[in-house]
Amino acid sequence: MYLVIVGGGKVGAPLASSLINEGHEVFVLDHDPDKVKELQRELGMVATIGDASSLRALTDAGASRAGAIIATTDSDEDNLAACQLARSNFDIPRTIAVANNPENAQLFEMVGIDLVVSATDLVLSNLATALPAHPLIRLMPVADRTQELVAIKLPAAGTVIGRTLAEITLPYGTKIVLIVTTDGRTKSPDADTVLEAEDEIVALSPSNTTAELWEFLTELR
Amino acid sequence: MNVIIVGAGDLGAALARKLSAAGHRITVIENNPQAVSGLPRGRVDSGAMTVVHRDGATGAAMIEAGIADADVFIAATGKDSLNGLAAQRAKTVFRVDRVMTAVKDEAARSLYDSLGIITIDKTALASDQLADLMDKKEEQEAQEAQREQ
Repeated sequence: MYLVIVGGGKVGAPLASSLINEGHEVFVLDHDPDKVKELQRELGMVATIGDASSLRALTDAGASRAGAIIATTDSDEDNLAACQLARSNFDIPRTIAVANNPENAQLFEMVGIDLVVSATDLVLSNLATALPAHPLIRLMPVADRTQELVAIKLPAAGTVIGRTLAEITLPYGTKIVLIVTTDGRTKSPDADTVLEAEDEIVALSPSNTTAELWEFLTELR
Repeated sequence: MNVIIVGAGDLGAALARKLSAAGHRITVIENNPQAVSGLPRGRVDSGAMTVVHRDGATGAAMIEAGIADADVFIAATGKDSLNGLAAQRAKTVFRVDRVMTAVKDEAARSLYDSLGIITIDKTALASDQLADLMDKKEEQEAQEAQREQ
């Protein structure tokens, strides 16, 4: 597939290289001549100097025959404008944008960007996985980000340990999907399921009450 | 009316002055402390005009500027894409009634027009006005020539 990548920086450059290795044809647009030179040295004539949010530059990059545009600059406004200009002028089939500021991720989705990659969310979820002391992992946004799939590890000295699901009250709309014990067994949750120390709770949670859910499940005695 | 203006550059400051003099309630969002010097000092000091020192494209700045009660939102920074992002947040997230944005680039103008955002193109306005003046002058000359005959 022919792909236009906007921004040849710390996200765009390695992305271009790995997409080329996967057999895609890519073209990178960056306003910084040094970055363009660097890309040309490493990957060949696949980069040109141009402003992310200029129609002229997108035209020069061949946006009219591209299967997708991937906007990866560190400026959210330019990422949005590049995707929207490509969509409205070339009817590009797929628009993908990095949102550096998490609040822009939601806006990008609302205004029709096909795939939004939230840099902060990615870092946070990776950090959470790497740090066992941090027991909230956001697995996946669901239903336009109004809900999310989360994993929460129960502390050994938590107030909910030893109680059944029938005995606790979760925030409204929360649904426990799965429980994984420390030895790797899975339990399908029902009213009689007993919460045990170090259980990993996988739950579907309304995004605005996830913090409350986490506080409740990790509250210490 | 309650008007929020993002950017206190040439256009933003001129709009703020004019709309404030016409009796509207103006809040200007401007991150750069030096840029606000273009705003009418007296009105800012007396509280008739409010300045919010934040990044104008963010929801936090818009909320502090009182966007819940805003009738008009005008993105007037010097950067088309930043204006576009701010204007779309005002329209989509905060559902402001009338959203306007300054644009420099023709492609940006048709894009934001198509999204239901009112666009203001300084250069186009100036050249239209100039063309109008030329037309009027020619008309006048033609009328004068007729009278002389």
